[in-house]
Amino acid sequence: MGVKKFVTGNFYDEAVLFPAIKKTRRAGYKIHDVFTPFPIHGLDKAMGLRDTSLHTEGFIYGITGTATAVGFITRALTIDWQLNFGGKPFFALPAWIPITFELTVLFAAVGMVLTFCYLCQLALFVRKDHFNPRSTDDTFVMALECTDKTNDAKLSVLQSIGATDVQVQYKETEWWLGRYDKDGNVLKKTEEAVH
Amino acid sequence: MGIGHAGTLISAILLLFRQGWRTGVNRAAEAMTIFAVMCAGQFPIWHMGRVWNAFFVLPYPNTRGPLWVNFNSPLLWDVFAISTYFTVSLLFWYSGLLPDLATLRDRAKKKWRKAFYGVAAFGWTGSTKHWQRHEALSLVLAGLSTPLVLSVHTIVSFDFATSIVPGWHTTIFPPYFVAGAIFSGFAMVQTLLLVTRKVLGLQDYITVEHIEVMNKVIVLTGSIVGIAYLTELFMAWYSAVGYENFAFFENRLNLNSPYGWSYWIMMGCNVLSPQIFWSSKMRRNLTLTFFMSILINIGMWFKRFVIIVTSVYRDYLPSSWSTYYTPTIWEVGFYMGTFGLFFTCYFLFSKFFPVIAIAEIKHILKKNGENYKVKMDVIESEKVEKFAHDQEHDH
Repeated sequence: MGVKKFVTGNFYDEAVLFPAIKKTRRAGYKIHDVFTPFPIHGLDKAMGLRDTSLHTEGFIYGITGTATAVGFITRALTIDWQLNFGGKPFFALPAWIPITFELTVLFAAVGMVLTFCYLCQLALFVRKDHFNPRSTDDTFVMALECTDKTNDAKLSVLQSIGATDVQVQYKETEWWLGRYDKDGNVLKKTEEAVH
Repeated sequence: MGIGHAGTLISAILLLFRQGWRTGVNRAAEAMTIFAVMCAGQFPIWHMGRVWNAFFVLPYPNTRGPLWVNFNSPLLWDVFAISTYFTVSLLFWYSGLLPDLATLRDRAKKKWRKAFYGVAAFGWTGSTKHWQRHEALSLVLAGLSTPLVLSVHTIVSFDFATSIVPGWHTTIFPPYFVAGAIFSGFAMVQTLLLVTRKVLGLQDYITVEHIEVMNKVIVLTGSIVGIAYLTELFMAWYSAVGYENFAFFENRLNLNSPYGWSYWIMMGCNVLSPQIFWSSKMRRNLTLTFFMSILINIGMWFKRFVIIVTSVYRDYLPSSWSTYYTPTIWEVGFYMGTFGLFFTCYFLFSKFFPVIAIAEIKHILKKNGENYKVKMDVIESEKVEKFAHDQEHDH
């Protein structure tokens, strides 16, 4: 848990947002995050984020599913309890393809979604601090973190690159368990501590 | 089960084919998929007779040996296929819903709405990194769902096709079932969305163009199903097997046989009537589309009726032919019950959840990033001195 100091600004147009990100980065400021109501292609690249490894993880989960299915069925039908189905071989691989395929898909999908939720800290009753409630609706919100080396000069930087409604905000960066209809009590205490 | 296919088809396959029009209808179609699979998945359980033993189909270490389930049986494949399909569809649907639920949460005025959507949105913020992962997840889930859709209905058809009952024992069943599933699924999407768009005033999002495109899919898949019916007949004749011939030409095609009428209802509803959609005027006629969608749903119900009843009500022994199948009150009850379950779920969904994929619509409607990447080159090649100078100038 930690409350940090941020400078935030709103953008309404991608045409302004993209150059703004570039300029902010060029000026040496660290962009904490940009919150958008919909995925903007190229934004992750512009912000210099590395590619997600979720694909690779999905592949690994899928392979695990394949191995589980083949391994388990082989053990069950050829070693543990051999059953004679119409004189067919115990190791009837072609007949196992459907279940193997289904388990591959199941493991990959469930594993990827769980990994996605873990990485993005998404779960029921998870409460996070938001810079601007409109960032899930109709505006792009850029948040710059204020460190010891930088100061409120960022306000003017954000304004100069086309951001509107520029302000300083103290926000909790971690998640906690809570409800959205109640103000986070955790936050108020820690905010006082920062001041 | 068939109805439960259009949703994933629209979401997954059309996502892979980058069909922009899917965004208007995909969320509702996915929801329909999930509710339909919930209904469909019940029937095997009811048909087991001893419902309380339904968990016997799961390969768990048991006190009977352990005696494992038969992994070589299409019925067990079905268990895995349907449960996987349900799980993956649910994950795909809900992961897509998260950003939209977050939008509702942040726009909510009432306390209970904030609480409800706050819990349901999993704490989604719209962070760029999260969107990047979300995009990757959607794409891979779409890639996984596409073969899954095909496999599930293929496996459903294996329940019939791997048997030796005349009329079921055909190799054309897998593609024919998949086409039929898409066909009936799109018809059901039309039925639901024509009403939904009217009631919720979504005419600007689910446009006549959407309806028309879906009608094109209906005429395509309806024709594929028609070809499959004819192929079946041809193969029955060509095989020169007396039992196959009897099943197709006596039990089905012959209008004077006890169930001949059901075959011709099926043919009329599924093959002949959708041909009207070759005309673009008809495709854009909403009343006709609604009427046709109901007709197709009836036709596709009769498809199953024909396959099951006409193949088994007269078996190899003519002495046992006297049975004229009539559903019992319990069978009708189960069927009506699924209507209740399906529509209850769908109404709750359309009342409390976003029927339109909000984030995806915004993504389509807003200009995309391509225009700006061009401008980015200028900034990329810009001299640092010049940039600094500009900054100074701005101040």
